[in-house]
Amino acid sequence: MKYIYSLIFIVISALNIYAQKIEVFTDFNLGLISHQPLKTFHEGLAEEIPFNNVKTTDNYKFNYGFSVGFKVNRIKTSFFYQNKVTGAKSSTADFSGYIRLTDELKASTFGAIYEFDIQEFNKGSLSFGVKGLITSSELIVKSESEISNSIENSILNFKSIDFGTGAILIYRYPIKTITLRAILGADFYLGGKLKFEEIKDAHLLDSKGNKVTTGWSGLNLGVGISIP
Amino acid sequence: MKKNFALIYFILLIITGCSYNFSSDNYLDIEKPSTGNNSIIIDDFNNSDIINTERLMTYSLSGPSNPYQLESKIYLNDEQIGAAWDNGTGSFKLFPSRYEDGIHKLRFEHSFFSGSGSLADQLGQEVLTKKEVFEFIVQRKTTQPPTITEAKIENGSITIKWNEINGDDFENAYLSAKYKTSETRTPLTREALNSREFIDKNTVLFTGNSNTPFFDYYSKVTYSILLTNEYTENYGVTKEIVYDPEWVVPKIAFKDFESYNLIWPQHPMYANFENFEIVSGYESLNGSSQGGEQTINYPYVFGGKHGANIRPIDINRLHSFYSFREIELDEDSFGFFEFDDLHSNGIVYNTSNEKFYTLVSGNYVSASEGYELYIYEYSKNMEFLKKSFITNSPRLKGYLPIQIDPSTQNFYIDTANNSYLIDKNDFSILKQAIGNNENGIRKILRGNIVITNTGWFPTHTTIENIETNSLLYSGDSIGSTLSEGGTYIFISDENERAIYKIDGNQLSKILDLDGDEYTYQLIVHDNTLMYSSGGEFSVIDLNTMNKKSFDFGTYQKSMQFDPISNKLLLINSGGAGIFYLNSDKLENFIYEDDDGSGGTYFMYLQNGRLFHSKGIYIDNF
Repeated sequence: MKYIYSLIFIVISALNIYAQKIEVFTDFNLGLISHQPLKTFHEGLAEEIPFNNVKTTDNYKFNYGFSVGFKVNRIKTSFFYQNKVTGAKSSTADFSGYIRLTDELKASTFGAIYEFDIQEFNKGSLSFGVKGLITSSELIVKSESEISNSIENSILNFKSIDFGTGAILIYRYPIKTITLRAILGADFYLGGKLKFEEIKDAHLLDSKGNKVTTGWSGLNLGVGISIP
Repeated sequence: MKKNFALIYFILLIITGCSYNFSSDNYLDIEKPSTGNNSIIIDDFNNSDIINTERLMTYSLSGPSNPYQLESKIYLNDEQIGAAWDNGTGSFKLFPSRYEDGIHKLRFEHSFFSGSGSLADQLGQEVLTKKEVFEFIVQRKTTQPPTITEAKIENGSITIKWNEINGDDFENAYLSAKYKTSETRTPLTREALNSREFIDKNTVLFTGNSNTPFFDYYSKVTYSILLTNEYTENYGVTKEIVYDPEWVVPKIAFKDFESYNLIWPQHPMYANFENFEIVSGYESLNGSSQGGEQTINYPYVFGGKHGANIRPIDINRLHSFYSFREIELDEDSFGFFEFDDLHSNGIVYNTSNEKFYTLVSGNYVSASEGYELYIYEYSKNMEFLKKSFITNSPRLKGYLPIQIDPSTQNFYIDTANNSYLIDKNDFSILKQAIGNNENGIRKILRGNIVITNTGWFPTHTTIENIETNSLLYSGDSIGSTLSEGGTYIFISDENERAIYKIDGNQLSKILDLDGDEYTYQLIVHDNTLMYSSGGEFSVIDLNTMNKKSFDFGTYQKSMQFDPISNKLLLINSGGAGIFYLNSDKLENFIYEDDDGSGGTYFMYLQNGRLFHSKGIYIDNF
């Protein structure tokens, strides 16, 4: 939490310093075509559940989250914090109980976007940006079961730091005092190791012995608002 | 303001963060399994069936179930019994003979995996237990058989009576007669059962000698009513009859000394068999079960033990055995009184008052005084009347220490050294001749005559008339014997052996004896003189002096004359004889002389009554 408080402090300070020269924004983000390594990993895990009728209902189909940030107009650069989550789930349940295997991937990303204005429209404008990203991810692999009053739980936590870059198109459409934003982008990450929290130097490997990475690379869609 | 709102919004967003919203669980709608559609099926069995014989029961579980069974428990009356489950079929055994009659509960607790496919089932944790209770009935016992109320011997058979029967749960009814190792069952029809009475014309109780095999197989009969069905035999309350050894006691009736009459009694169950086989002496005879008497041609030993082997014959039984019995003496021909146990020595009959008298050694007094001497008085029927103290005596004379004076009926008592004449009425000592043991003086008193023998080798003998105080005879190494009344005397010296008549102070020789003759007893009755001498005895008619001699054994213990029957009783070692003075006939016979403890029995002939010192007598002898 500490870093969150630090962040809040920075943001507030920045807002105050650049009160008249910045644009504050927030977006809702949806990510697609990502997390292939984790998909494979989860499928492998799900297959090992020794029960019939285990169904994988979620498997990193998309990720979603939000971004908050601000754009310093003078330098055409936005700074933002992005929080995204995705996950996978395999389960089966009946009157006698349930078995659940869930992977939840949470990421906090700090990034910066340098924008180029491409075109002005009658109403709104389109810009192109280049991103630099640093993402802290936490993978929580949780298995839970309760069958005939027998309860079993286990949670494994992994963490990784990933660095990435990306390209982004931002369409802005002002309405009265706010501006609507629509975003289309693509991220490219160099995946880091998913380190096991409890054991030093241990990290997640797939069945072939390759490291499993978070796989945040993918398409991004987003809508949001900004306040100039 | 706007920016502040936005600021707060951002801060909240950051703090709350985001969580992935997972889809809901993949829930499969499986019906929760239950045993509602299951049931236990016992083959060939309906609830409340009657099961009376051992039976292997098989059962199965119907309805939906998984072939994998966990366990199958069966409780009989809440107690688990052994059960097996194999390949879809369970089995267990019922043993109705071990159970009480009545309703019994069979509870099944059959556990199996549900097979529902649920997670719990996949884990093998979904076990269903089908509980089902059945009842079966055991009905093996018969109606309670009626109690035997009476079993008694009647008219030579056994009459058995019983109570009324309540109920008719039985197939067959019997009257059971149980012996030690066998049983006779007489079928009873319903009518016979209701008559409540049966006469057993078969049972004959008898006990053999305890050293005979099977001797007690028929000593007891136990009657009961037995009701049976195919499962059980139910005996009712019993009554028994036990053989009493006193039932069949053979007896001897005196006939003569060459034979005896054997009397056997009626067996209480005489109607159930015809004959005894009786073996006694060397004879075997068939005697009626109703009792009888038969002469056995085997010498009768007076006072001896005679035995008989007896058994019922021609009866329907597996084992036959004899009972050996000592034959008792028949009360009609034998008399009994206490003699030997009282240490009696001799018995005499007083013709004047018709009473018997015995000489009895009483309590020990001292070495010099010896024992107390009593005379016991008996009636003619040998009923004890009284006892009278006479004197103390160290030792009585060996044979016939009490004799009766033929003329006065007073008693002579001879001890080793002394002689007493005792008053027949008050038992006072009328006369006495007292010797001295230390000086070797032995005296005999008869009538007025006293013979005194002094010392040994040579013995000095004097013969005196104490009335006239005259010495009749004296000398060394002479033998002498006085007659009972002191009227005759036998004297032997180196010159001659003769019998003299004592007449006051005079001795008149009446008979010379041969050199090898010697007499210890001289009896005179009327005009007859009798004396015994070694292996013979002689009878002399004093009128004609005609002498008749008879051989009798080699050594005579005694010769007794009974004036009433006019017979002589002669006793030697192991044998005896009766001499009939009327006919000169001598009849030899045997008597029991060994008392089993080193002593000997003796006999007395008094008043036509022959006594054996065991305490037995025969009359009209």
